[in-house]
Amino acid sequence: MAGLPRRIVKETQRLMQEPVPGISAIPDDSNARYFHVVVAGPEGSPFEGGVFKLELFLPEDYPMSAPKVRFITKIYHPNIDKLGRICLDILKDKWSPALQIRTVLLSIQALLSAPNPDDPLANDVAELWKVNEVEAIRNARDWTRTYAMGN
Amino acid sequence: MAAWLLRVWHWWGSWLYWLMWGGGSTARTSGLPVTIRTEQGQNLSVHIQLTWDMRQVQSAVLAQLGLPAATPIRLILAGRRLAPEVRVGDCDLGAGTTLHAIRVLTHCPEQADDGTQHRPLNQSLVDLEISGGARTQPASSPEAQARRLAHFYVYCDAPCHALQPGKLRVRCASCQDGGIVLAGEPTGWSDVLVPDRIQGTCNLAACPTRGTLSWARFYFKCASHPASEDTPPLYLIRSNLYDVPCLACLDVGQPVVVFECPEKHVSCVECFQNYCRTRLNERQFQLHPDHGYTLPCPVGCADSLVRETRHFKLIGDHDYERYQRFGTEEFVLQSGGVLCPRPDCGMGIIMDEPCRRVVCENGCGFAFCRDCLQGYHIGECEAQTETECSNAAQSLMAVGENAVRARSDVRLMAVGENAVRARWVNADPSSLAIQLTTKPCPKCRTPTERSGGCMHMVCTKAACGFHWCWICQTEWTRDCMASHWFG
Repeated sequence: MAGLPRRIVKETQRLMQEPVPGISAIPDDSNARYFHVVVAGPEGSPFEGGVFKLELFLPEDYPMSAPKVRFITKIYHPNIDKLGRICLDILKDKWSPALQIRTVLLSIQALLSAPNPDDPLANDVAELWKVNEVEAIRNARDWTRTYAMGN
Repeated sequence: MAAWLLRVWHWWGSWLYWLMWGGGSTARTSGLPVTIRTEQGQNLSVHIQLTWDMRQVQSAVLAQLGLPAATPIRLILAGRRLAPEVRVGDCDLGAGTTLHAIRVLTHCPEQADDGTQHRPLNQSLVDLEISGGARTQPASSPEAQARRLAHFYVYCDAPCHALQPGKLRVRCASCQDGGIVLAGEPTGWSDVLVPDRIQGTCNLAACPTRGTLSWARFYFKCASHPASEDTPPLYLIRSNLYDVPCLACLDVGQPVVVFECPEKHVSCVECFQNYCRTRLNERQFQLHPDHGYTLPCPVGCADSLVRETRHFKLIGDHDYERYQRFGTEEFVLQSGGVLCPRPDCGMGIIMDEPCRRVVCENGCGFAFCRDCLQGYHIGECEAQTETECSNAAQSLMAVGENAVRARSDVRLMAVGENAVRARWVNADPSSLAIQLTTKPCPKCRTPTERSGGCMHMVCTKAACGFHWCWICQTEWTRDCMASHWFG
């Protein structure tokens, strides 16, 4: 871990020692700035029972710049597009160095519990979520079953 | 020779030791040359010892003045009459420090004798962060008491080029001399930074307010070398009294930057430097009408802008120069001015009247079109639509690293075989590339590159922040969301 800022070392240690319930974040063997993340679909959400893989990368000027996070597992969500990119203010202009990997992952977990179709990234999903929420939730469940279970 | 060297080393070594401990209570037997200024304005050079108390200093002064040893005099430093038992090593004295020696006169009104008046200012002031009623309980252990003493930091431009501990000094507002004894106790930074908050009695014969109350003016010096100039204090830099971890790196730094937000967020100095450099590279400093080109607390708290921009000197000379240039460019552009597009010029020009022909009068003399930033021409801007024209213009003048890079590229091109490369210069590959890969923000016209993601653009220029659509090149709307969010 030579050359790795102490903050990243500390955050990594804490993530390993006191993991966030429902979330695991494990640094890559060859790159301590790259994390393999797994988020469990929150209870009561259409993503319940799903296991979602994400990748998280800490850029060179972290924590002055936000981590880069992307869903790898396909997900039907109005704020996540088909490439897995996430529409979350704290990953963009609302980032602050006081936030951490932990808080970012908690926010993503919360986003799964409470989709925000008024600030969408996946437009067709968002549209359906507003027009026909029942069908949208059914789609989300289907996608969760198809892509996020059993692997 | 060896012995001489050794002695020099000993002298410096003990000096460094003494400086490191801020003139603490450690006794050292080194001579300290100080200046004694009398009430008549006479200066004496006196060598004193750090182990002496003020009684011994008084004797040395009286001997040098040729006065009887029993002559009652008082020594004044930083607004305080020093009690006879105060030790030299407990005052933040440095080589060349001026002490005032005042004969005790019967008509001179005596201050309330509460003891603190006789202790040096650096020993009686607790940290100025603690102001008004928010003072903490008196600390019991000597270490805790030492930590609670006031700590001041300055940015020393020369010779240190660094953040350094500062010394608080005081002078009389009327005669500008230091022979003043404070009548009140500064309790917060505002007492020290804002003029006319604390009064004192000036003792110098030449002072028009002698014997009556006059205003005290506080100022700071770098404590790391003798005879320093007045240096503005960096009042956000505080001694980390409560071992608060840095908001970014989580380490407990010493000293730290305490932002002025209600939460008083704390950053270590290194993370503050990184924060400033990152924001500078992104051109995210804000131009505030009163405070200048500045930043808020990194957490983004409201009302947390750094009000003393000299704190940004901490980013180092090179980046501070960039900071000043960016700030100036931002000011020129926000004032409706333009920057001269000539390579290596970049002069800021604010036109007196709205005229399309701009001449870089105090710079390179180039006459150019305000709209397209090409050499001045009559008629329409050539072979470019209005949008492209302003785009090209912005590509050279705009705030942004691209503009800077474009300029330096052009300069590199121009060096060498002029005849061959002249065409390259004319073609200006950098600005062409910028034209091809960017679109101007519809509001501020900053050339913007879309590196990926959706069509919803947010202008990264600090003063703009406009939400716009990459396809429509107008304000972002729900229609854009509905029809071409991803193109």
